[in-house]
Amino acid sequence: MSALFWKEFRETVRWFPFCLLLVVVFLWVTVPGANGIYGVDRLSGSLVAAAGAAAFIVAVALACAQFAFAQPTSARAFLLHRKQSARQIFHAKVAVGTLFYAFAVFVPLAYTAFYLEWMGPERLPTTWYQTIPAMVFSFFCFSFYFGVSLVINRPARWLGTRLLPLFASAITTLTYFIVTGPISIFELVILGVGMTLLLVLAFASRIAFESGENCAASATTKIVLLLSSLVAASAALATPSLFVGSTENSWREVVIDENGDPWLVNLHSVVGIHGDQRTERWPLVEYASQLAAQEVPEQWSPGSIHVEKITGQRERSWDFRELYQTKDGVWFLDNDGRILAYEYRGNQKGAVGFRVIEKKSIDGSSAQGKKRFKDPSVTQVHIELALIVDAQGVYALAAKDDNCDTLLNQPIDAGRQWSETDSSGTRPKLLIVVGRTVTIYHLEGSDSNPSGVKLVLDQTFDLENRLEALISFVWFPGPPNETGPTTWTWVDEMSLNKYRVTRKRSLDEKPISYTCEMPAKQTSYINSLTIGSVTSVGICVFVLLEMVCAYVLNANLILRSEYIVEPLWSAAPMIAVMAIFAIIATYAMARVRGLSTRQQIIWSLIGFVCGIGSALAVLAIYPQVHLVECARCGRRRRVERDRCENCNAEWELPATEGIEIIEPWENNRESRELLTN
Amino acid sequence: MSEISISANALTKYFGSRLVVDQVSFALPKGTVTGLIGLNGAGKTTTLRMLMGLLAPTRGHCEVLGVDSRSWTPEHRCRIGYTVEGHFLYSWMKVRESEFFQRKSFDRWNSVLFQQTIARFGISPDQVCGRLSRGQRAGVSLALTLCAEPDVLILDDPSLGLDPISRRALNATILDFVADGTRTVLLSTHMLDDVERVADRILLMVNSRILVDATLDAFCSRTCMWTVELDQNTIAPHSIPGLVHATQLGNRWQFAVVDSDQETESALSRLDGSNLQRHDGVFDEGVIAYLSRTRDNTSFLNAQTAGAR
Repeated sequence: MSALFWKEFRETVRWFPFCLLLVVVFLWVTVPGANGIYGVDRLSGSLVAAAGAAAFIVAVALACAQFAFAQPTSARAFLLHRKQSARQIFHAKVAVGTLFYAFAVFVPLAYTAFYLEWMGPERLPTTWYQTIPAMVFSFFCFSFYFGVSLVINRPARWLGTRLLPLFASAITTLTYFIVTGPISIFELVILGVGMTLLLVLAFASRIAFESGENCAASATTKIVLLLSSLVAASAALATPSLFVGSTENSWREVVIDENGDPWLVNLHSVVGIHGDQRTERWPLVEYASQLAAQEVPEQWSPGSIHVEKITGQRERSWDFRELYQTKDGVWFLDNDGRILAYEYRGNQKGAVGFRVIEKKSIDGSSAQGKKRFKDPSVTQVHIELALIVDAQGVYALAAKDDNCDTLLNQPIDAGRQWSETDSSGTRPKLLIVVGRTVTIYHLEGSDSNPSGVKLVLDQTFDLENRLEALISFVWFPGPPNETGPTTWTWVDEMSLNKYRVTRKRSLDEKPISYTCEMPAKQTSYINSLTIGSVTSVGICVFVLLEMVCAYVLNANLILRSEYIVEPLWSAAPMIAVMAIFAIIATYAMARVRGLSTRQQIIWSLIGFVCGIGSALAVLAIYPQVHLVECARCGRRRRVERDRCENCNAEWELPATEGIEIIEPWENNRESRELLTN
Repeated sequence: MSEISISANALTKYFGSRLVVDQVSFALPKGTVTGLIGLNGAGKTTTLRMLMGLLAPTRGHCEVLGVDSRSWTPEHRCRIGYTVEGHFLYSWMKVRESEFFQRKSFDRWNSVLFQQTIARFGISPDQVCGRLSRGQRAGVSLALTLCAEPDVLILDDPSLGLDPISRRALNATILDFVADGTRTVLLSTHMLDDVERVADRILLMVNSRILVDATLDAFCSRTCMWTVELDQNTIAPHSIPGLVHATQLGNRWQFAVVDSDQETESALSRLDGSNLQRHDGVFDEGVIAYLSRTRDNTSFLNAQTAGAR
């Protein structure tokens, strides 16, 4: 075994410099330098992309170097013909591959973690936590090592089903989403699925290496191929959805209906079945209670100025405020992180709980503020000062005395600005992006008299060519700290990095529940089903899984969200048609592969449950059969079976031509009888 | 009573829909050297790969030293020596490293024999395998196989790249190997003189089938060559009993016949040719006659001269 390990080490080490260099280069171009503050936004996401791409290439390269070169007939025969079993040889290969993968990928990542911690947070807002997503992702990228190994060692057609295991590898690396989304039970499920698939891939590739062309697919190989086929079918069928999704977008608006009731409406670019874009809406109940007593604005054209404040750590929170500018003023709406609960079809649903904080006049002359909505059950967020940025300038909107002062009178890019408006004992600052220049202002003046505040230039940065990087970047220089340098607060797209948010709301606040009735017409939107309303996933995942998902996960896989029906069973005819199609396709493939009647029935049932991917799985798992005519019954029989499956006849010896010289050795007759017995 | 070392029973292999080995059966006794002869693509290497457990047969089974090839243990595999076609070696290894790698992979190892063998080919242990000549690679490959002191030796075209002296030495080595009567050799080669020199038996594969499974003596005694001068350019093959192959060289025809008897001679006499002669004991001509049944053996440059069966 040591000789094998030594041989594999010597053989693979030649590729190590290439692998190491690749990872180092990828990370080097990603990690910001000492003065490169612009690289810290989305840093963890960039690290995931860089390390993931490099780790993918390294995994594939290592697998090819170790397995592809041992695949030719002579090389494989030379390697396998020794005292060690094929399993031991495989283990030696994987041990060496793992060693080099770890060194090539995780050592540079560990150094990167050390570097980021050394740089931050004083010099750069960085921390070693930002490398954790990349490490997790890189770990799962090792599944491609087993995937490629399985692809290389499995006897199958390259243009047929040989590449399917790579889809299982791709699924394993979907754990990327573990670190991008908020914590939930689904992350654990994905993590479990990823780990399981990784192990299954490893077992399947080992068995494929052992068997070579020796035997049919093992159980683990079959599992991998089944999963891969389902994913492959889903991927192929879901591709059109990507194009549909890319053209579809949605946006929020506050809409006043004919009764004067305000709604928060999600408008979609894709028109619904009624030609109506208002496919989702939520009542702004509290807002409505105020607006009912007022005249309904005839021209309600909210120019949404979105002020987003992300609070907490890995907290799923819609804590944001919106400013809606109308012709006669500005409405300041706040949801304060509350998710209103209401009951819909027996399920608890969430809705955005807007409150009208204030209505102000933007011209500064006449304040038309309404009385502040006061809900005794809610801790009121007291807004001292709102900074409003539009195309003309920056305005300070004081809540107490209804004043609106012009702080900055210059055209700016209102599309890219962030302002910190919560005066929780600190000086608010405003960050404005104009072209490639970032300008940071701070306010001077008394908080108790907001009308006297001034906007003073604080710092200016040149964005160079990294402007696009700031799109989802929120970055605040914090208040001066008497005991040390300025602390930094940043949020990038990776939730893990929110550990260092210095300003956060109290997590002790409990969400307040509200109950409101959905209007009846909301539930009567959908009353018909067409093939266009079926999702691509729905084509792949059929009846049983669909029902389980719909019931347990409260998710609808078959129908698009705007086609939610009441009850779900009304979609049964369409589901039945798709299920029958899957059954027929799977049954046909099982027949093509020459499976027995019992196997055909079993696979048809699998097709009923798992969808169209099952047909692909049959093609992937079972080898192509060759049929020849039976000499006795004349029907087609499989060449690998000793007896005809139709008439139970054995194979006849090839016809002699009268020129054969078959001379048994001295005890040939006796020995052949021995063999026969 | 001799024991069977290598056996195949109705061994069949399809690659897709192509039949490569068609119900091959044979039994090779211990202490013999068997030559496996056939054209390129006849199925020899496929048969050897199935014997070595490197390829699963579509049907049938095969055994070496009494164990089914698909269920060998690593210890059992150590008892079988196998040189793969092309004399594969890891090109990045030095000769010394190759020996180390093989020595650690087999139970028995004769280092002295290895040193002697590579010295015979003028190879230094510090030479890199990738820079060896083809003959030297063959020498290292054979040394690596023989030094494990196997009970059965399966050689796939071992003389490829060997010079005449080395070939002669290889033949002598094979004879030494089986001298004590306990070890067996299966030799796949295109070198008919090598087979004639060392083999006790021959297996002749034509079109995926075994047409000859006999001792060398039996083969030579049962096949003979007839020559006759004829004016005609075609003959009816079925008119001559036991005809293996007929070759035309100008007006001279050569007939390879198996189990020639009076009826054969009468049939040949009815061709109205002249100078009818019989030649016995021509091993290579007999083998070539069998092999020529599927492929023309005339000059590439003279396509008009075609043999008729």
